[in-house]
Amino acid sequence: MSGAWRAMAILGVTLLIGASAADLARAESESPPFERGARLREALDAYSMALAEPERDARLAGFARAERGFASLVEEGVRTPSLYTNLGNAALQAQAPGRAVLAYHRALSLDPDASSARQNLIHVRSRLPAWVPRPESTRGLRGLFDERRLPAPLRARLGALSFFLGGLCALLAVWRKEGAWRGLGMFFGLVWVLLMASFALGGSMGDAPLAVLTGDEVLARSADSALAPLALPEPLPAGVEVDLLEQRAEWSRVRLANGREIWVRSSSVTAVSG
Amino acid sequence: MRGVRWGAGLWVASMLVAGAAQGQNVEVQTDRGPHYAGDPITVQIVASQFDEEPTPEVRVGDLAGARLRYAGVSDSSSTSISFVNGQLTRSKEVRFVYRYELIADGPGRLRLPEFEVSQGATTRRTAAFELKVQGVPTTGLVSLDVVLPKAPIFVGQKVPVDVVLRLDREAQRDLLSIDSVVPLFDQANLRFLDDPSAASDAKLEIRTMEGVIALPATMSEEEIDGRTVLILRARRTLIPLTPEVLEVAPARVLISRGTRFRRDLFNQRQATSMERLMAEGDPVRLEVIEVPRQGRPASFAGAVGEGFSLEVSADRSVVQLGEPILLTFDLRGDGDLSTAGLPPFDAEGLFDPNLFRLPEEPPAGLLEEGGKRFESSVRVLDAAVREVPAIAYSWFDAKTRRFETTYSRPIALSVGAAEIIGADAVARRPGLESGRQEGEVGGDSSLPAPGAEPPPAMVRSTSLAVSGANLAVDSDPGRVLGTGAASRAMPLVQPIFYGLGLGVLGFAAFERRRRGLDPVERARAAAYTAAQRSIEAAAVAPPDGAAGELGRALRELIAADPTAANAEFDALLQECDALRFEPGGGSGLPSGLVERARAFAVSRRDLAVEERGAS
Repeated sequence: MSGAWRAMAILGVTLLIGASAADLARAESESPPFERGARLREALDAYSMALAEPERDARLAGFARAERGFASLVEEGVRTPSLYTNLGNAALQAQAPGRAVLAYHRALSLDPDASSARQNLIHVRSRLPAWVPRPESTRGLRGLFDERRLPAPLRARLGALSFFLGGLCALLAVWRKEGAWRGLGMFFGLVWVLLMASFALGGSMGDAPLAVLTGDEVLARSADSALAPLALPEPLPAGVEVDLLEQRAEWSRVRLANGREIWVRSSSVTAVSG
Repeated sequence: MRGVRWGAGLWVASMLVAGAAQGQNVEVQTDRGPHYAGDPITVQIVASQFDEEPTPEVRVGDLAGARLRYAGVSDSSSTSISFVNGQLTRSKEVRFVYRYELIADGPGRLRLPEFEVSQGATTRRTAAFELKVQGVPTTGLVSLDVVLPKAPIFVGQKVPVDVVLRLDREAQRDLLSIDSVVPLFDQANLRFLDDPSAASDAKLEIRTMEGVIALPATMSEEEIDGRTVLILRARRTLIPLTPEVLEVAPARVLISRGTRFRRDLFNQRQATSMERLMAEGDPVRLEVIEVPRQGRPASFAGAVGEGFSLEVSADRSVVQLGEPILLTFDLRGDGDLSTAGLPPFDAEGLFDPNLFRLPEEPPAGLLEEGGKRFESSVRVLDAAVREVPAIAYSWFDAKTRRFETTYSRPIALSVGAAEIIGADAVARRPGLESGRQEGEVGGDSSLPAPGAEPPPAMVRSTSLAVSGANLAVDSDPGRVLGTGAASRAMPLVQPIFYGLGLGVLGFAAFERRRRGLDPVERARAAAYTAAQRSIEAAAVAPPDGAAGELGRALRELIAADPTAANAEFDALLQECDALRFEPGGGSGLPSGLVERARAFAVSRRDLAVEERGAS
C-alpha cells in the first residue's frame, strides 16, 4: 500500500471512530426505552398537576418534582434539546432561574435553533435587575468559534458534510477537468480544516467556558476568601451568565458580561458544558 | 534610658571579613558594657561593600536566654576620589546598618548567634560570640504593678487593665532614667485598646516588642508607711481573643540612679557615677474562658459586652415581589465591635427564609464612629409579607453573666404584585383552544390545560405573554427522549458523511491516477497483465496444448512490447516450439520452463515500470 493510501486509511478510521465514539458511549449508559418513557410521563404529569394547583407552595413543589423528573432523564444520558427545554421550564416555574438558564443553554448547545429555549433565555435575561451585565451576541469571524453561536455537535456535523462535499468536488474535478470544481473542493476542504481547528484550538483561543450562577444571592468577592471585600455592592441573582476563568477549591473566578472579574463560591456556579 | 555611645571607642565584639577579594564584609557591633539582664542592648550588623540594590537580607541564628527585636535598617553610600601619581581613582562605599535590640532574660554568659547577610549569590557571616550579662540589684524604692480582675474573663470581653508605677521621693531626686516593661502587653492572643482622650496629666512609657508606648496617666502622691511616694496610674483595655490560661512574666521596672554628682558651669547636677536598680511585680495569671454554650440564643453572634442596640433601615418600603431591599444594620454597644458580626439571617428571631430570599452569609460590617454598620439585601418571596420583622440581636453580658437580646423596630413594607415568573404565568387564556398555550412558538406541543375553569390569576399570565416566555413543555417522547426516527438517524450522519467522503476521495484518487497514465503505457501494462494470466493458464493446460499456449502468451507479450524481446525470450520461445512440435508430443511443460516464463514476464514488466519512472 502506498503512503498516500495508508495515510488516507488512517485518517478515515480516525474520523469514523471520533464521530461515533460519543454516540456509542451514550448508547451504553441508556436504560431501557420503556423505563425512560414512564419516567418522562411522570415528569410531564407532575408539571401538568402543578399547573392546575392553586396553592402556591404545592404548585412550586409540583414544578420542583417535574424538574427532578426531567433531570433524572438527563442523568440517564438522554441529551435532547426538548428535554433540556422542558427541564428549564420546570426549573423556571419552580423559581430556580439559575438552573433554568443552565438548561436553556444546554438545549441551545445541542440545537441552536431551539426556539423555545432561546425565547425563554431572553425572557429570563430581561427579568434580571437592570444593573446585572448581560451577554451580547457575538459578531465577526470570532463567532465561528463561539460555542454559543455554533455548538460543537453542529460543527461536527458541518465538518463531516464539508468533508464529503470536498471529496465529491475532487471527484468531479477529476472527471470534468474543470478548475471551478477544484476550487470548490478546496473551499470545502478549508471549511473542514477550520472546523476541525476550532475543536483543537477551542481551549486556547481565550474563550473561557460559559457558566451560569445557579446559587441565590451570590456574593461577589474581590478575592478567593470569605473575608475578602465584596466586589459588587449587590449580590448577584441566580441566572447570571459568566465566563468561568479559574477554579480553586471552594472558589471560582468568573468574568461578567461587562468584562469585570469576580470571585464566587464554586458551589454557586455551574459550567454549561457540565 | 542609658545613652548608647558609638564612635572611636566602639567595642567591636566580633568582626568577620570574608571574601576580601570581592570586598564585602560584615561586622557585628554592640554598645559598650556592662550589660544588665532585662536592659536593652543595642546590636548593629554593619554590611559594607555590597551592591546598592537589592537590600541584603539578614538571617539570625538560634538565640537562647534572650529576646532579639529588629529595629530597622539604614543604608549609606559615599564616593571618594583620589589623585595619586597622576592617576585618578574613584571608589564608592555602600554600607547597610541593621539595628537590633537584645534583652537578656537573666545574668550570665549570653551567646550571641551568627548573623548571615546575603545578597543574591553573595553570603557573608559573622562569628558567634558571648556577652557577659550582669544581674541588677532589686530595690524597694520603685515598683510596677499590673492590676487585673481575679475572676476568669470571657473571650471578647473588654477588661480594664491598670498599670501602676510607684516611685519613692528619695529615688526621684537622683533618678537618671527609668525603663518599664509589661510582658502582658506582648501577648499575641490579647488585644489592647487605648483611649488617647482619657484625662491625664502625665505619660507612662512602657517598652514593648513593638516599641515604646506612652500611656496617658494620672499622677498623684501618697504617704505609704510614712514615705512619700509618687504614683503614676495608666489604664488600657484588654480584649482576649482565645480561651486559655495565660501565665505571663511579671512587670519589671529598671532605674538608673546617680550615686555621685558634681555641679557644672550652670550649677546643674551632673552624675559622675550611677547604679542600676530593678523591681518586679507579681507574676500575672489570666484565665480566659469561652462564653457559655448553654442558653445561647440563635441570634447570638459572639458579641460580649453590654448595652447593645440594633437599628435596621430599608432603602425602600414599597417593593415588587422579588425585588431586592437594601437593609442597613447599625449596631452599637459597649463591647468589642471590631469582631462583632451579625448572626445568620435565617436564624431564629431574624428572617423567615420562606418569606425572604436571604444571602448565604451575613455581610461583613464597617466600623464607624460609635458603632458598626452592615448592609445586605434581601428579597421578598411572598406577597403576604407586610413588614421587615423585628430583628433579634443577642449578646453576652459578662457582668451579669447572662445573655441579653435586643430587637430592632419592624419596618412596614408594601409588596406589589409578583413580577417573577409563576405557575399561573402559563395559565390558559380564556377562549384559547386546549392544547396550545399562549406565547407558544414553533412546533412544540403543549400539555392540555387542566380543569375547565380558568385559574384565578389570569391577569399575570397576560403580562408574561407580553414578555414572550413560552413555558409549554414538549410531551412528544420521540423528541424529548431522542427515540424518533430523525433522532436515531442523527448519530449516524457523521460516520456516513465521513465514510462517503473517504470513498469519493479514494475513487477520485484512483480515477486521477488511471487517467493520468499514457495510453501506450496503459496498453502495455494491460498486455503484461494478460500475458501473466496466459502463462498461468498454460501452466495448468492439457499437456498436448500447453507448450503452444505458453508460446502464444510470450508472443503476444512481445507484440505489445517489442522492446522486451531479448535472448531469454528467444530461448523460451525456442523451447516452447521444440516441445510443441516434438514427435509424440503431449508430455507437458517442464516446471522450470513455466517458472522461467513467469520470471521473464515479471522482470520485463518491472523494467518497463522503471524506465517509465525514469523518463
